[in-house]
Amino acid sequence: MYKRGVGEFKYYVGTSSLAQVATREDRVCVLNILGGESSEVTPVGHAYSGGNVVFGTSPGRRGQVLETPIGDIPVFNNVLEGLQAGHRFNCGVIYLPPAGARDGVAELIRVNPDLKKIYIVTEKLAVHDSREIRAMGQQNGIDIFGANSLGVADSWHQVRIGGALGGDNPAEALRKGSIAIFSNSGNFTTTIATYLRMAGWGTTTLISSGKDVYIHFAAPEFAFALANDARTKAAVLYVEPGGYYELDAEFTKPVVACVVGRWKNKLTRAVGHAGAMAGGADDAATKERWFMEKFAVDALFTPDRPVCSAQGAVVTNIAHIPLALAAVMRENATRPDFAPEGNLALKPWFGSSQGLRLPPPLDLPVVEAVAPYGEQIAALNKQIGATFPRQSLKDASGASQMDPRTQVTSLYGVSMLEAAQYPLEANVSLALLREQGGENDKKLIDVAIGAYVNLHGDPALAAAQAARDTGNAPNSVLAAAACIIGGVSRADPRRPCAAAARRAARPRRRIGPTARSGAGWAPGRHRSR
Amino acid sequence: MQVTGMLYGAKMLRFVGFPTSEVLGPDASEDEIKALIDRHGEVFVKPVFKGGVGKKGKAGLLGRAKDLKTALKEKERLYFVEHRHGHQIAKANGVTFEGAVPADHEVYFSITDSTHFRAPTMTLTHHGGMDIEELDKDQVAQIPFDSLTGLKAFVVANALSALDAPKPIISPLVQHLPKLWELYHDFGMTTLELNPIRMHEDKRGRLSPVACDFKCGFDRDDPRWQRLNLPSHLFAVDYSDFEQEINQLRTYQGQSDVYVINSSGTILAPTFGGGANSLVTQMLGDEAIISSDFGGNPPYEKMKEVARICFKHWLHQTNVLFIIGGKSNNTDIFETLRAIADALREHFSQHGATPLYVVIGRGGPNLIRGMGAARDTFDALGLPYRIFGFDSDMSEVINYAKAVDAWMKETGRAQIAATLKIPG
Repeated sequence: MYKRGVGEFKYYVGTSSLAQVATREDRVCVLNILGGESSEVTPVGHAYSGGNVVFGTSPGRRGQVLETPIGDIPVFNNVLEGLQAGHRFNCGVIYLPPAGARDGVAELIRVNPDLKKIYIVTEKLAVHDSREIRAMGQQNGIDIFGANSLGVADSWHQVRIGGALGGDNPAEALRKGSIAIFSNSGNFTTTIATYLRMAGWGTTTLISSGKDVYIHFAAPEFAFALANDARTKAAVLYVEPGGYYELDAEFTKPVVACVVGRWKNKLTRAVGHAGAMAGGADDAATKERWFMEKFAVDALFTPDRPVCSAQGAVVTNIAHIPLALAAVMRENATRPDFAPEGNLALKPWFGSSQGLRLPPPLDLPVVEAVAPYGEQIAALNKQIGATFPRQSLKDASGASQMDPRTQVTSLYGVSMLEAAQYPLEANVSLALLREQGGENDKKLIDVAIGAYVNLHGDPALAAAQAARDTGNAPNSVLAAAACIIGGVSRADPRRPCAAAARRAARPRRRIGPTARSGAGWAPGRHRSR
Repeated sequence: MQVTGMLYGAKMLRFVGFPTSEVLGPDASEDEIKALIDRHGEVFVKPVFKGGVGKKGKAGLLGRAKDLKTALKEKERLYFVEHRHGHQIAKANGVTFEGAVPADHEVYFSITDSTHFRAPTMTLTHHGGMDIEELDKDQVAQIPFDSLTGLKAFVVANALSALDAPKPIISPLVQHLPKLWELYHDFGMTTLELNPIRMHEDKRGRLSPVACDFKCGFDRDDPRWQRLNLPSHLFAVDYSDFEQEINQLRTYQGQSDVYVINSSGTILAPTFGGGANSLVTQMLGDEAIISSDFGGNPPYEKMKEVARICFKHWLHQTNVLFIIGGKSNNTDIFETLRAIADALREHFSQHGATPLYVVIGRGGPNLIRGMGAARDTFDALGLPYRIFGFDSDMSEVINYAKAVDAWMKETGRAQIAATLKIPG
């Protein structure tokens, strides 16, 4: 039981061209809009798409909003309330947990007669729910993308819906061009777009299909919509083992198919994508063969043996996609969309050999990262010291460690036995900057510490100096200063009886500089800084 | 998560009122076995494997006995028998004794979700008792049906008519087969196969279907299977301690799928995203210790716990810690790299240093902050490293990690151990 759609499909398909997958006219309702993932992803997509989200739902949070760079998105308890408030939409996005996704689909379909498309981001959806979702979509004439999808994007329309394609800066990956991408992997949808861009190819429509057992918008529908999209000259497919979707796809435009997962034959259960379980007649090797037959080629494309035809090429490594695409498009007398923006050579952005002599092929020099990352690294390098997170638990930062064998503690790799031999300044430097510093550093630290504790004119300093002048041992020198400062208060055992010391010191302070007579002076204040 | 055999299959089938052969488990007494033989004239002795194990009959792992002595002999032969099927090796732990069901007709029946039809699909033939793949297509009916209405009697009747099935078997199958949809759909199954169903003739000449073998697979993302009260050890068959620990963290927020590829490998590669998982595992081959997918934006605490477990089990033998993924969309790189770096620091703190070279290849949100946190940690621990951005060919980064591993095996491990002042 399915509604009649476009094409000759034996099931409902409503999208006749890739240009319809994500448009500027689409209006979106996001279910569970305030959830952890959506609240980070939706504002970016909303801003990139010129404000396509009309409202979101989150039960019990009506009246709240999701802030975005181009204005707040209102939140309602449910879809019906949003519609009653006058909002209209044709696209639903499901960010609900797995147990709620099926009900979310039902809610969208039941209460909104204008609904045309649903994008399901939720992963780990039960197959039970997926098969019911499929049936609901078919009966009601709704195109469903996903589940476990990172949504769709369109570089021409500058729209993304139902996910995070392009990450926190979609424009960085999505440049207008002539290639469509259909990928079982959300991550690789963006990665392939980035690789293509570096080779001079831009994109039209990008679809992260998901790789559950049920792929609702799958390769055959993609091939149909590809044929009808005048903007798109060719497509890249990223395919994993499992499922017969690709077998039924009829391509009329050039395609580079990347099939990965031969090793999964060794597995006895799915790892990663739920539907990517190999074994049987839909494993990776079989899928490679399907595509080779479609493209009339007798081997895989590799840089060493670039086998391709005007119909396409099959690769097993995503890094070979740009090369294969260029070769296929040459067969079609088609040049790249723009000049290449870079290359895929190995470029370490950070690196250290820690003084080891590495073989030359491994000893790659650090290179400056592409913009804007190069500037970010420069800013990072301006920070003094490490950026370890603060941890509430003792030793949780790992700055100090105890050797389990000798039970001797070390700070940033310097044993305390060793540190005891360094001057105070060197150990302060070690604690703050993770290195002991040179002579200059020590002098600077001296000045910095002196300025910070500001003991000039302090009676404790005078007492210590007097004890030192008369040839006392270091302990006696410290004891002299401690006598002036006083004992430990009963009220606050952490704080010495500073008041008594100050009383004793007051007459002397008058003969010193005016430093302590300012308004900022308060009992005990200098001790608690 | 698969169950094969009638020991538990019969219990599940009884749950929906589907007739089964009479089954005794491994703990059956000699009296019980003898009584079973007396009732049925013959028993089948079958080894009990955990999980899904196929082609047992062809491997000679099916015993038949018409007397107690033969039955006990077959029990001894099959109780701990080993069975290799494809890449799987399974060891039996027990046998079942199943009463023979004399019949003129054997039927094959299964339900699964077909990616060809994109619907639940019944496969049915009255030429059962053999591999379904060996039959001509016109001898088998594959019928998709609506999941909202379920497998209805008319679907079965139409299929049997189309197959030109013998008339006496049609009515009993039409009555009983739709019950199996309830078992399939309501208890989180992804496949259910009964082969053979033998059409037993009662004293009045009427036929009724009796399931004589059972196979099913459960969806690990669907908790409905728990309604069946099956013992949990049934599904713990092939999990190592490491996999068990990781699987406890498996939630819908952030994947944590792992599989131990080679327990004596030397590259520990937590990978992010199903795509990267496929590519990396394929290229690393047997050097990889695990195949994993930790993508899906795992929160800091979960990522750190995953890394802690990985390090606890594998870091001592690891040459290269290889953190690899494509350009992420929503996975916060700062959170993931910081979590891994913190777990590594804590591991060194608790267990001492180990010679290690770190290779990272990644892109995504908060990339530089994440890489900075990793760099600071590796510097503090004195570990050599290279960190690549998303503009480096991922497969070349993988080759670089393999080259580092080769160097580590030759002299690198000893060199790093010397700089860390630890035994190599």
